[in-house]
Amino acid sequence: MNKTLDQFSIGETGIVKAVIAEGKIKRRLFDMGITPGAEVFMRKRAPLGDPIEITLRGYELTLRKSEAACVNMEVTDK
Amino acid sequence: MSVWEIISIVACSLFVIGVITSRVVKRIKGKPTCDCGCDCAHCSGCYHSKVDKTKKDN
Amino acid sequence: MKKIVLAGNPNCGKTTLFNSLTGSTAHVGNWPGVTVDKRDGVYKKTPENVAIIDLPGIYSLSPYTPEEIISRNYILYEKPDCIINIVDSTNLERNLYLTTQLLETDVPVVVALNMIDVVNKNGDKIDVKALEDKLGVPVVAISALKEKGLKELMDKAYEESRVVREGTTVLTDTPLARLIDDVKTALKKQNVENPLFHAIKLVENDSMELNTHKETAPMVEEFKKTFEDNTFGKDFEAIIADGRYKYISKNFAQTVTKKEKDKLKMTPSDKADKVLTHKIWGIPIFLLVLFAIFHLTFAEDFLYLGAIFNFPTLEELGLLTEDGEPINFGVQLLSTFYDGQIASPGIFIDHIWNDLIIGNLFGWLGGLVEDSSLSQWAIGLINNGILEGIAAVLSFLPCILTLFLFFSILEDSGYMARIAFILDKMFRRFGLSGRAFMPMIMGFGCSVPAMINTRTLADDKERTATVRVIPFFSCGAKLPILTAVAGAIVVYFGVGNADLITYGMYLLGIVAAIASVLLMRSTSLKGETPPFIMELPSYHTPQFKNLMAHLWDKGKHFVKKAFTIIIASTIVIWLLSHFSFAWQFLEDEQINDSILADVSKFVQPLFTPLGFGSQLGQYGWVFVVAVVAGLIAKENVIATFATLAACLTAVVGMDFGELAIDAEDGIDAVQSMIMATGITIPALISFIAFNMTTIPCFAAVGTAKAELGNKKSFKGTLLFWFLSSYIIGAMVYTVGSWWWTTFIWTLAIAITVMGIVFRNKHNKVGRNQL
Repeated sequence: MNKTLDQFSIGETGIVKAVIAEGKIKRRLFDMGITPGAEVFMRKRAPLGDPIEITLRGYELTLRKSEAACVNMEVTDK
Repeated sequence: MSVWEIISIVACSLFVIGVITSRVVKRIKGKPTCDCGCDCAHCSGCYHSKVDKTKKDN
Repeated sequence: MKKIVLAGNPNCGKTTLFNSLTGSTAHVGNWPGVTVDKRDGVYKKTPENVAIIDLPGIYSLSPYTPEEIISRNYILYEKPDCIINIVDSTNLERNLYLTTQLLETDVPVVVALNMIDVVNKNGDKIDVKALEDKLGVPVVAISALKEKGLKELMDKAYEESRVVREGTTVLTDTPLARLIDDVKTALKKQNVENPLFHAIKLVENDSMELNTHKETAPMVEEFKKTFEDNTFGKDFEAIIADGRYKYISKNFAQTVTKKEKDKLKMTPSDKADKVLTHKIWGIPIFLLVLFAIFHLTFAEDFLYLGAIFNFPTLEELGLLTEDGEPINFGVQLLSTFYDGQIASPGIFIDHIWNDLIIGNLFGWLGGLVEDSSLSQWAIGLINNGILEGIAAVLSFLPCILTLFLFFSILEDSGYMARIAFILDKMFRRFGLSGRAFMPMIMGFGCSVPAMINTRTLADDKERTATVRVIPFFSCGAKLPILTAVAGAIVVYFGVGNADLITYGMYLLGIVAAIASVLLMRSTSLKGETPPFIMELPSYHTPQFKNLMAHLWDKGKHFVKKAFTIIIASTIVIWLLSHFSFAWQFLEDEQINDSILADVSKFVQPLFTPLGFGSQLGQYGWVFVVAVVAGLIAKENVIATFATLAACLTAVVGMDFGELAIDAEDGIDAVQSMIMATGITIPALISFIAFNMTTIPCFAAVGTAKAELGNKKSFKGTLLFWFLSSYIIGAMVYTVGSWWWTTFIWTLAIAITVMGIVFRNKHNKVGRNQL
């Protein structure tokens, strides 16, 4: 099943398919390790619902839903 | 006026002049005039003053 | 001297290593982006001394924020002799991403596997030798914190710095390899340094590179037209980033053997995180932590136990003499933490410092001067001009250190980054990212490093807005104003509660900051809300060594300031208040004829709407002097009070005893001010509010100028500071004095808000039509 990262529910794991963003945001997402093939685990949402916290490549990263929406994912594990 | 009074006047004026000139000198040299004396850990100014110091040491 | 540079991801331990190598005490913290400027020191255990340069952390060599540009430029253009690439071994994959880029430069590289002790403790293993073979450069496992492996690392680095290295890339397997090679050859012909590195960045469409290599760029463009990748199309950035990570996963991942772990088992860090960022409790816990910090520092009545249980006071116990002095030393010791209520730790330390140390020391010094054969004016100069000012300032040292200790714990434990995570959504409403929270909380310590730290913000407008509101987060030097004035209000008028007034003022500053950011982001600094993509560090127990280093630093800074600029200022103020324009010496009682009085009376009417102007009568100008002296350093406000209070005491005939220095020195000074001028409570609060939000000290103004880097916006900033503090002061004073003025202010605010909303809407329509 494919969806964007911001639609993930807590505890879901997926593989990055593509990053659809422009300029600096895309650059930053790549630098932080969100590249095609990376495994991402959705850890939690902040108390106010946004941003989200994910685990990838062995560390924890936080990003906003609006940025997570740029990441196309394939769900691998519920 | 007693000797001590003269000494205290001289000391005070020297002190004030000293503090003011040291600031002016710092500013002219382009160092930040923050009061950390340039050895506070997070002041970016440390960088330059430390370089000068180490050069003198060697 | 050879230059060895420390480069690596943010929060991987570069500064810790720097401190260990050079014996420095540079500021470290457990959040990404503590170091925002390069810094250097000397390492002396290699055959010849080498310079060590600590750089801000970077995730890649394509910079995103101003402080990352510093790192990149240093590595590329300052010709370091060797790069020590510090890698967080608990997070090898992402850290090696930067390594693959550093290897593309022609600079010798040594990889330092930091935090190897944590990896081993987790039961994981890293094959250092295999990693070394794959990377083609020396790899050394170290622990910067425990100072292990440092000698070996430095010896390797020193060795490497003497050999020539040529850049290598991991991208040889990608379809772009040929293009990169062609560009590299072209750049080599132009004698460009680090040709391989620049070639790859050009292919990546790095905007900085496209500007610096204008001749080569068209050639790259030409080639790109014919290129098409199956998966990524023409997205060159994606191909390269993907190539790097693929190579890392394929070749380096095998060098790590992870212990089989029960996935469900939570580490202590996970457990802490679960509570601290809880969906419902996250925000209440954060508020509670903030309250606890202030309560532990300022509360006279710890946990409100005194109010709840109604403990007897020392007086009721018959332990005080008729003058209100303790009957013996034991009682004096007891009084440091008990007087009908139990003092919080901060206040306890404060009492020990002031009642037992500062009070006695300065009392003794003052007595010595008093008993000498000096004439009256010399005694006045030394006692009132110098000693009182210093004592008043130094008496606040424990308060500042206690508060700072708690903030250091926040910073070092990893909680601070989580607060940014929790608050991001709220910050976004104000047009900022959660990242802006870090410099703001640093502002509670000192505005100067806080303003420098805004370099970690990627967006220029966000930076400007943040720099402008940082002074509203009341810094350590403003704390004496708060506590002294609040204390005097309570003692003199017998109303309220000093620590509540203090909290209230901190809150007022925060509210003012939020309102100003909202105002700026919807008028002069309009723009998109900046993105928020940040690494969250793991929690760990704060390092005692680090905490002490932070405190030592803060204390040294404060004391140094007291003994230089503050003494100089009080001497000048004493002189100006004891001489007339005719250069004649004046007695304390004649203070109103002094130069200082004449000049300040001229400015005095300006502050009338704020409550400490003309209405205060003939002695009201002392508040003006304090405000102006505060522009040099905020500690001066209280030092000035202490110096001038001595004269006012002579005028109003208030008797403090031999010398007006005792435990609550600043508070006494403010009391005599109140007596002499008849200033009201709202005006006093307005005075605190004005000082808290007005133009900050010289040092902070200088920093703001440097950080804003634009003359126009700097002038705007000065004006903004003055206007906002003036409005806030006037609001506090008028509302406090005449309650019905609340309606006028509400109306004024409503009209402003509506005006802005209307204008913005109107403009938007206009833009859409275009």
